[in-house]
Amino acid sequence: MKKPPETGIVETERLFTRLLAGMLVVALLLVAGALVGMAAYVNWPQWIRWTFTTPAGGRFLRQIGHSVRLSILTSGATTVIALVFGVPIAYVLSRFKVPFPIVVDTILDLPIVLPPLVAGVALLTVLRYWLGPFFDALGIQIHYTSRGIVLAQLFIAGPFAIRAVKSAFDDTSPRYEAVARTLGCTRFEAFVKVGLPLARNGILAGAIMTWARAVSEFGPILIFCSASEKTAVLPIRVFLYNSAGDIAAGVVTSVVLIVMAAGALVCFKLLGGRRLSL
Amino acid sequence: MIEARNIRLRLGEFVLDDVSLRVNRHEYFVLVGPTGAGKSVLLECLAGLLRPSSGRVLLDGEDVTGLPPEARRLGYVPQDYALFPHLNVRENLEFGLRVSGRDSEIATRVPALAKLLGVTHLLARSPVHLSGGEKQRVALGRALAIEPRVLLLDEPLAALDAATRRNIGSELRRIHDETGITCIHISHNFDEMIHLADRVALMSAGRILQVGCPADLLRRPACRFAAEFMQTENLLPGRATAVGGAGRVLVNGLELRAAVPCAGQVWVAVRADRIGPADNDAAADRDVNVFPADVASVEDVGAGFMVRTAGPPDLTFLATRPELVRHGIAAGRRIRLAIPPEDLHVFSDTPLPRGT
Repeated sequence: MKKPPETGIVETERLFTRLLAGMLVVALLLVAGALVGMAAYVNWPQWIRWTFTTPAGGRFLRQIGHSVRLSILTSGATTVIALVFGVPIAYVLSRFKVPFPIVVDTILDLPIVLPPLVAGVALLTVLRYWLGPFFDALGIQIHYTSRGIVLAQLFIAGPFAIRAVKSAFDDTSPRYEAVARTLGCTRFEAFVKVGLPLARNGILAGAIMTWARAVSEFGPILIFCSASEKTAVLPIRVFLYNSAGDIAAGVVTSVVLIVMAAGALVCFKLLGGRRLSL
Repeated sequence: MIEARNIRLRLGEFVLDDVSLRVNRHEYFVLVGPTGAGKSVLLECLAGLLRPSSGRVLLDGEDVTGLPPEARRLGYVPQDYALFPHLNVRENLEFGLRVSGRDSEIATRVPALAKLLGVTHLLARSPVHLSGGEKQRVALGRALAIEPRVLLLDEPLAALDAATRRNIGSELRRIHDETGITCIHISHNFDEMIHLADRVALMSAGRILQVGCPADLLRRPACRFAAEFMQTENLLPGRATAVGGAGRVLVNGLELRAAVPCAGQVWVAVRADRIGPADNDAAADRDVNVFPADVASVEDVGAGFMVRTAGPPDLTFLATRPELVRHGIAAGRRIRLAIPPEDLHVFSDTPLPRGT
């Protein structure tokens, strides 16, 4: 019996949907598989027992604790600084005509597409070699310190924050502020009372992504602050363990990082963030 | 009184080309024109949201061209209402008084406004989930709260469904009449203008083509564009010669008398309600244009019957049911039509503005 043509169409469509679903599954397996596979390298019950019962485990715990603290402190400071400067800059970029927009855009985007190592080299060259004597004279050391870490993170995460916050402002119509002004607000009041609250969720989402970006920063910190005990934020710690051949410790540290990043991502999604631009 | 003097501004595809406009105190003024005519741009210039590249804006005789919007005290209601979604209805209404440090007036003014606009039951709600009509009322209330010198309404009815539109339309007029506030209302809708306006300005391509009361625009369009925008049913080219204190226009072989002198290449505009079947004794009245015509079609349009006659010239007129019966008007019948000369609007078309 000949099939009616509709059946053929339905079958083609089903095949197509299955193909797409299959590709999604492969992608999910690749990411999840790599992470789970990595985590499975460690015998967790044994590892936890070792951590809490042996002196070597205690030392490991202190190192990880130090790194978590340092990471949270530096990335927190970076996020705050990035927002304090980023929100007004983003507002200006979103609401006003900026001269040479392409040039401005490109300069702001450059750190995002730049190889992170190059950012480190740039920071080191400028702050250590060009401006070093000046800072030395003031008795301020930047490189190889947590200040340096913040600066290195800021170099990448700052422009990222500006972009994220700008898109939050772009998503809210300037008409609200226009109405606010006809009701008696100055430009500044309209920004504070209307523009800012309306972009709040977008700004928070941007802040979380900025923080996630800062916390996973590695290349510039390695170059500008080197990989030492003092500057061992979590990514540097992973690097140190791996260099020393302690793969298991590297994996455990990585898992800590993944949990933090995943937490940030969940917060981001809950706040209604849709896009991860760059 | 608010006045625009020789405003020029280019803003992307929009352009204001030497626009002057004067709206009197207590007037309900409607700015009509097709999309892209520059109506909103002009309104934003008046509000101070846009700075014209030349020209001046005067408010009660005072030059406010250089003043920012917050110093003008004008009520502005944008087309999308732009109610603050992070505030509830009450806070939206209070906003203007709060930011201008008039907190003491909130207790009396806000409830009175809510009552005037019938939104008292909505005060605690978020504006996000209000219906279009409710949003419009709240936006209106928010603008009125500061007791603005002029109320600027950008297409206030465009986003509403037909029933709500009529409703809010008469509401607008009522509020205007009760408060005596000067209103400038942008519209691209013909009916809105007829129902609401004391005076109208017709804009196209960044210029004002005609200013007058709705009846003026309706019956005496200044140019062909105005006649077409006002949906003049009978718009015909003709050739006029002045005869004494009046004129004669030759339209498609038919000679019609006009009440005013005219000459040369002209357009003749006659609205459908100004043409009618001729009574028997009308022929004796030498002042009225009477001529025979063949009925092509009769269409029921609710308020009457639109009758089309085959010319030359083709004409359209509005007849009542009794007229249809009395004059035996039906497709295929020959009837006699009458047009009083004073209802024959004759004008020579000025060149259309740039961009149309």
